Amino acid sequence: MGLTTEQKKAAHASGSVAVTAGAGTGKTHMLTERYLYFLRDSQGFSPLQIIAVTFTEKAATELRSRIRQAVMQEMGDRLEVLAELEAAQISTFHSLATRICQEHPESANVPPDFTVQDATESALWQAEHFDNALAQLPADLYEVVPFSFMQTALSALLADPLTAEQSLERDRADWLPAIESFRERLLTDLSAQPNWVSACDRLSHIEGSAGDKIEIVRQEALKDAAEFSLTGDVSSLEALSTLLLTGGSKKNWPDLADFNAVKGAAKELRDIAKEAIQTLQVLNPNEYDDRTEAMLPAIKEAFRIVRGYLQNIKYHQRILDFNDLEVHALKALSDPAVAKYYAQRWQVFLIDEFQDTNPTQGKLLERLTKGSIITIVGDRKQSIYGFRRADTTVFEQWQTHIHAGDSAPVELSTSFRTHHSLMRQINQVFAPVLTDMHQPLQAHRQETLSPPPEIQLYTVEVDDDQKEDNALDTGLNAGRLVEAQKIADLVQSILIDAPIQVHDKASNQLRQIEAKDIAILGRTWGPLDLYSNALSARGIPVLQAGGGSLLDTREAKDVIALLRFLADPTDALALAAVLRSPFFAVSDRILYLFAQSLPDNKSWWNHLRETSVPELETAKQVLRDLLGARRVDAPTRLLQMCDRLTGYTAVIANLPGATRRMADWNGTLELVRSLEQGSADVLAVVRRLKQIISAAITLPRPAVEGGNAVSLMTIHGSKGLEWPVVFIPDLSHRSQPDSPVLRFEASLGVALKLQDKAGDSQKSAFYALLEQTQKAAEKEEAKRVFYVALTRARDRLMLTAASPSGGGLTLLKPGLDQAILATAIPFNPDLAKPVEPLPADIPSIPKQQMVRSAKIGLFELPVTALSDYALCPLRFKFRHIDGHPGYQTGTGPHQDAMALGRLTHKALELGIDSVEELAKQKSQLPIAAVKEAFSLAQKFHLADAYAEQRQGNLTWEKAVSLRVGTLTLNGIVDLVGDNFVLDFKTDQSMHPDHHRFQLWAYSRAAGKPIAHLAYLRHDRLYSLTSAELSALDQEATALVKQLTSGDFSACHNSLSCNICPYAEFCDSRVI
Amino acid sequence: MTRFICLDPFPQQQATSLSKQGSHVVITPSGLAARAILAQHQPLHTLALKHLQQQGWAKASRLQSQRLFRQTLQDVLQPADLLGTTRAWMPAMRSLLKSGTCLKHALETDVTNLSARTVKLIAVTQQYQSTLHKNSLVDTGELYWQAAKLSTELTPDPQRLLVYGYFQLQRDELAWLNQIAASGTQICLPTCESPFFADTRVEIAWLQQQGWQIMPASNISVLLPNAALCDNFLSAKPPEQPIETASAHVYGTFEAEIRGTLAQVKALLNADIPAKEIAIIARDERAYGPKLIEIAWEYGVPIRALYSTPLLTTRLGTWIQLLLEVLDTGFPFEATAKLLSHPLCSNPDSGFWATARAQHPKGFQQWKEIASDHLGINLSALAQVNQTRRRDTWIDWWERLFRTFDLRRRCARWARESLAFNKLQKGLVELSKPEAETLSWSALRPQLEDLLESLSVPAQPGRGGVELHSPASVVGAQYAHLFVMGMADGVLPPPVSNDRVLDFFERQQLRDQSIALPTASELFRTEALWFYYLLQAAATGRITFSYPKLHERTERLPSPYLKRLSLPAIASPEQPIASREELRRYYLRHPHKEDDAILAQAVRAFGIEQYRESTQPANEYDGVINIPFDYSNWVFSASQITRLGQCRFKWFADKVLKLGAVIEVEEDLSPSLRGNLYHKVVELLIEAVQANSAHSLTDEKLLREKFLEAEQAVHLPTLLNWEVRREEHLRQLAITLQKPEFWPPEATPIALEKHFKGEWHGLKVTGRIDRIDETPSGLVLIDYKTGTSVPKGIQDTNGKVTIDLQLPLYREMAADLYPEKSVADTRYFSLTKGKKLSVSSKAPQHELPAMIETCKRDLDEGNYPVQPDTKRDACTYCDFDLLCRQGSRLARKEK
Ligand code: SF4
Repeated sequence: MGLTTEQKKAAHASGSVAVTAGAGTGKTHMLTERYLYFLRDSQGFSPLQIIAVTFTEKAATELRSRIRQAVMQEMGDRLEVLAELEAAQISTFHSLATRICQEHPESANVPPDFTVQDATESALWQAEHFDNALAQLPADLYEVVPFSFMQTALSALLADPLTAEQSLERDRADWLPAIESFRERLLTDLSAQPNWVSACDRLSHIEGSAGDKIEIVRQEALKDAAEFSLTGDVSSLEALSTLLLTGGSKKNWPDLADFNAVKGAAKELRDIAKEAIQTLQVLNPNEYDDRTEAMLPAIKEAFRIVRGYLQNIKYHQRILDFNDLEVHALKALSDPAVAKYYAQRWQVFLIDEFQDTNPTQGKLLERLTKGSIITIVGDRKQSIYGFRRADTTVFEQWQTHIHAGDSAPVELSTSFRTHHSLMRQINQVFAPVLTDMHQPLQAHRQETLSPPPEIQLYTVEVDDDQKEDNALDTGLNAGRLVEAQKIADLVQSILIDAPIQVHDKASNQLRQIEAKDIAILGRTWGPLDLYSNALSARGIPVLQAGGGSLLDTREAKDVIALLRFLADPTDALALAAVLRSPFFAVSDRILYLFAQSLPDNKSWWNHLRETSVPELETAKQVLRDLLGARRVDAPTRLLQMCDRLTGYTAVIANLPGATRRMADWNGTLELVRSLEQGSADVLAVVRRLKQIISAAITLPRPAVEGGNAVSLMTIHGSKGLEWPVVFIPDLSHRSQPDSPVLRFEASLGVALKLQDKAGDSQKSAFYALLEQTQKAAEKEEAKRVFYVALTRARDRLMLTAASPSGGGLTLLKPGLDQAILATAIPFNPDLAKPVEPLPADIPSIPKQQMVRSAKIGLFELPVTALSDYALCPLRFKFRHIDGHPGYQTGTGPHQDAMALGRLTHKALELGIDSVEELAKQKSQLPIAAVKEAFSLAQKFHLADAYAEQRQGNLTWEKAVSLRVGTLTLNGIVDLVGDNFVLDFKTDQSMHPDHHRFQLWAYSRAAGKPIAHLAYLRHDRLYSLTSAELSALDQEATALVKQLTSGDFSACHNSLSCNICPYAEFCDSRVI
Repeated sequence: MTRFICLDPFPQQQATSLSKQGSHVVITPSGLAARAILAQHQPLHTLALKHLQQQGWAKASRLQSQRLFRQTLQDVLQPADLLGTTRAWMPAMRSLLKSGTCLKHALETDVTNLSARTVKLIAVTQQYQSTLHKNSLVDTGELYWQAAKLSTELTPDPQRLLVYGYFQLQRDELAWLNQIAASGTQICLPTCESPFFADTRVEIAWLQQQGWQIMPASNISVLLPNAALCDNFLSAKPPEQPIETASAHVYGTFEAEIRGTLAQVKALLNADIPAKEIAIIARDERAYGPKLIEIAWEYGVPIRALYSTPLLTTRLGTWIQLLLEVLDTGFPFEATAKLLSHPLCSNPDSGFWATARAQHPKGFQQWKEIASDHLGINLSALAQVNQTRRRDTWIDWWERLFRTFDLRRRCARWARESLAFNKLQKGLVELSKPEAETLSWSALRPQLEDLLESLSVPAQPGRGGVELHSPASVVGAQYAHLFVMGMADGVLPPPVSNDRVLDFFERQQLRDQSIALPTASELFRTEALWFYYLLQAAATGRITFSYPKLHERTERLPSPYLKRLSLPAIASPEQPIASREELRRYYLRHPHKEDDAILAQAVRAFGIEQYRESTQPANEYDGVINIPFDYSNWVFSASQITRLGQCRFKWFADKVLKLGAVIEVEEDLSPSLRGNLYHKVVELLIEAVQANSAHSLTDEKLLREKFLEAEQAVHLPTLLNWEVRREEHLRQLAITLQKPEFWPPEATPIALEKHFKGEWHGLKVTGRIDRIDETPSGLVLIDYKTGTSVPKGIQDTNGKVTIDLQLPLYREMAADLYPEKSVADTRYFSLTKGKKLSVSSKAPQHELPAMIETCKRDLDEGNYPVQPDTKRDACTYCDFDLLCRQGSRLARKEK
């Protein structure tokens, strides 16, 4: 694909460039091309010199993949470039910061081998240590700041430590001017407000008969408003705010509508004035500002101590969380040596999604990019991460900074995504909403779609009678249910009843719509459930990407109950929960009868164990088995066992929402696995779960893989994605404003909400200021969120709302009014009901079934294994299949004997002729033992018993292998002579019989007819003659056959059990 | 003397025939490679080790290296964090050694273009190396160089070798080989005309310089099914014909990928393909191992994961680490409980945990008692850690500790833990040297941690089954079936990683110093060749690639290697049912044979759960047991009736099933505990004021005194930060007490905590009224609250918990208690807000009698449906959520 002129301008800019990339304008394509530009011979950079920063890991992988492909296409197999591309830093900010910290731990003040906690771990960690940190504070601080206030304040400050640190340095001199200018701006902006202007307009165009009360009001209002606009005098505003709107007569007006319009307009002005005055009032510095000032030093000190304390522990535990990474990386970069280090390495920077950069990241980049070529790409309109401190002003500053000369930033404004007729409407909607931020996009796609795409808006409307009917629930939830039904109607009609055509991106052709072409994007996860239920009830496949917390799912709760019981069988509540759950599905009637029979002071489990209730028998058995297994098996395995013994997953895999349920079950298993790590103990997992629950940490649910289904996700999650058909529901949703006790802002300071004498909350003026600015910022961001949402659509866009106004509808009103007409969905109580879920599809049964376990398939063993097997197959299994070293090993006499044996062998093999030589063998044995080994070895050379075996052609330590049936036996023969094999033993006692199969195998493998066993301690030689060995042939083959068939049943007798290293824990032992 | 390099791209057959002759000593990197050419496995390093040994040298053990390197770092650098720096610098140090450069010489040249850190690294490494050498020890990184160097002094017996499976020989290995290879030796270095072999070609050129010869190409032409696949990979060109023996599958999730792969493996095993003919490959075995083992257990597929895992990941290692933590933090509750109730330490059913939970011991003394009473373990030794001891005394101390806890025996239940125990003991023996050195606890501790981290055991010891390998470990092997998992971008191949001490830039600078460390491209090629040889390992068999679209919520793209192979991933074909668990999932709603009792049980459970989820009214699985409850002798408290009126099931679970929450001492001030405390304070205070008119409610000293008394009375547990938190509570109460509403001048409390008993709407009731004031207009009944709003009442006809029950009940009871007086008012009073909380005037109080009647009716009928109010206020803080299975399903139930 080629480049548009705009894209080319950005991609091939010779120096730094800032790019504004509207939604769907081929940004990644441009970035890829930009990267390539730097690789080309004319620029000649290596990928190792180029840093690309993306917003998510996924985007990084995608970008790397695109570049890789482009390199392969354009530069052929230039392996060098491809190789360095794999090592190139194409990553998120976090990975970049991690790298800086890892490479410069000392300057960053982090342990060199730190690990990074994820969000959950870090929240848990914080919960675990925060209270202890508070305990470190000197008591006098608490005299100034009460405990719980301190607690809340510090935890808020710690969440954003860098900003907190800066804010705590500020004082009144910093914020007072800000209040002043805010007030001024408020007053100047007031009369320019669209509603003010339109109200004045209405008032001046209609006139009533002189003397009418309302006519008088109208004149007063006009006069005061005009005066205020002219002079900005607050007293005229006050006059406006006290307008009395009673009296007047319709008769004195041209018609009723005029009368109402005038009243409405006057009221509008009055309300605006009232609100403004209220705001002005709270912006007057008050006693709470003074009190804040008195408290701040204590808070500052406490923050310093607590943060230091926590950082110290983290340092010792070698962990950092996401927040720390950037903070410490920034610290490292303030060391000139570190800055120089990177300046040497990195010359080119490409930074994507710049609008979502936060100030810390901005500073980080500032230090990194001095003297480099920078490309920043972003779109202010798509900045939606304010809650993560993203700040669009960072983008603006960089833009001006990069284009300080006469060059201008590049704007990509051709959308390749959205159809032109939809694009036109989107432009229309957002022009008045985003005002000067707005930049219209041109649509590339012009093909004909029928019917022509247009934005549709549906709002649920309750009529007056319904409103008054007390028996009728017309609340928000009811409205949402009706809305959900409407969405289901719409989806059904375009997908099933009369399938529409959509544009296929890959083929650039029209094709019939499929479920996966549709997305429903919510502002929050909350109501998505409703839509998903409504759709599934009609058999439309849906895919909800996440939402809610894993621990709130029934599957997780069942797991928790089971683990709680296994950790503590006296936990009756957990036991009853397990019994009632699909694990056992015991009825409440049975539980009741059981509880009735419960003796005082006896736990449920103890009673259950001892009584016999037919309906509880299975449960009793299974739970007893699991409790037994708890001693050996890890919690995840216990859960698997429980499923095997109860068929739990068979139940959930057939219930409505089966896919989701199975994913939650598996997700819970994964969670348990991560919690059990190492300890593999139930109690540890249960306690950890308890901590997570009591710290109210939300654990994300596992994602479900789509297939062909309607996607449901949040607008934030939809960033970077697109669909032919997009629904944006719940448009009238109003978010709950939060009111923390503390607000702070790096350049202004820290503001508090305090209690008065009566215990009621009071805001300081500075607090009010921050609250106001925050509110305004949130409102702006909310608009951008909708911008992102609407621009996800390619062909069709439907907006719905559970009520006719409020929330997004109000925000977008100026634009929506011009572009589209809302269609009312009359409230229908019959639809305002939860729907019965459809059961999951009945799975069709795969042809092939293989439930029985597969065989272990042994094919290679050491020769000695055969002797073990001959002794006892179970012993063989412990040693050779399970790899159990046995209970006797370790250090101690047994170990020493083995080491001595090895050293003796070595002396023989290497032909060592002095103790000194042998001592060099680093065996760690004391010198006495070395001497012993040496003298044992010497015995072979001297004793008469071995005279014959010292003759002829000798090979030491010969590796041999023998194939018996499907089994290969490997071993090393200590000594191979002309016609014999020989094995040395340094054992105290002699059991030649135990080794006969081993000798047999050596002899067969080496092709020697005779086998010897030399007991060096005893100067004894045991020999197996050729005939004796032949006699063993059959026996050995049979043994191998039995072995390979997987027969490991114990062959016990007190003799073999007595010397068995596994007797300690073997259930089959004979004592 | 002629020594050969065999460049045959598929050397296995040729090597096999040579190995069968028995005329060569066969050297292979792994048993797998040896097996492929029917030879016994002997790796190259054993030759080197043997040679060193003969000269009285040895390789330093992991622990020895670590300790010495750390010591050197400390001597030379004194880093802020010794432990971490050692860990971070180790790899860089090793690669310096592996490069075989003379470090001393390097330091003597001009080092100005190197970073200060690199210079330090070289110096430290050099010092470390010379200390090792002084002790006749070598580091593992320099093994071959040192062996080669020693052989110039004492030549080893040259051997006629067949080197197979070492397809990417490093310079050090070559140097050593060059020393010991006798005439007739043959090295297999499969090579083609592709830039991927750039490094191999350099090595070949070097060998040629040393007089080695390239073997003439054999004229046996073999047709290998997957040769074309290998070619594709190198050339990145699409094949002329589709390759039938290779396929690539994409699965939805990680779990699905594992299931799909194991099902195929199982099908092969069932078709009597020997396990050794099959291997599962994952670039990151650790990422796949645990889940693979888990599903393999379900499927009954024998799997063997051979990668090693540090002691720290074993039960024993974790337990020891926990022990260290407990010792360091003074026996806190949570950690010590985990430590002592672990299966390595006690029997889960010994009742130990139940006791510990109820008593919440903290600190050494308390735990010592419990451990001795319930576990029979004497913890005394643990009191003496903060000491300085000789090394051997320390290790003795540990040994004794192990015996106290009988750890060896307890570990014996698991093969892996037993191995871990043995390893640990050996490690401790090493740690005990030099014996006479004295060490403080804080100096010993990191060394113990080191031990746990550096010692390792196999993930799954033992043998048999289908093995899990990484591509590098199967070089030279041959399989009939290979399953390569995780073929995703960024996973296979993984990103080329940057060493944190010597990054690629620094390596470039080092080249100028003639120190050649692998560059990014070399690492990239190494990785690619591993993959290439992986393809070769399936040269005569089938190879199946797979990757999951989703892994831990991140989407995955296919590996670029698949693209090179021109092998697009397709959706996996239908998988066979591979376990009983899966079978049940499929058959539950199909007719099936009745031979699976568990399936029958699951069918039943399914029916019940489905019913619960439906719009159908509650049945006996949802609290409707239809057994009448005789309440004529049951005494209700106000809160009991409230509970009953909020959600029948809640009351049923609590009172009838007797399933109160488990007792555990509270760590924090719970709302109920706070309530009790406040109630008590106020009660004591009023009593005091009434008893002595000199006392005043607003006397802060008195308040404090009574507060402390109340703490005793309610058995307030030790709470963290309580000293300062108390102040806040005092302040809060002081504000409330100052308010005239709290004790209006015209009121005289005539009863506190007034107990009542009686009958109300046909129910026996009992309870306490917090305070009864006498006022000119009559009695005022007061109920204290610590919350800020009126408590939730019982359900009205709309299913909202708006009907207040407590105050009407009190009103009637007071009438009984004080028949001669009239009740003027009843009220809730918030002790935190300091004001009266009014029941909403809209509350449908008139419905109270009727609603109590329905409660009674439900008791009569034995109906306890799970039916909280519509807004689920009843469920907040309800203990029975685990039990009742409430959730969105309840919205569907008819009331
Ligand atoms: S959680 Fe809710 S529904 Fe369940 S018992 Fe408690 S109050 Fe009833």
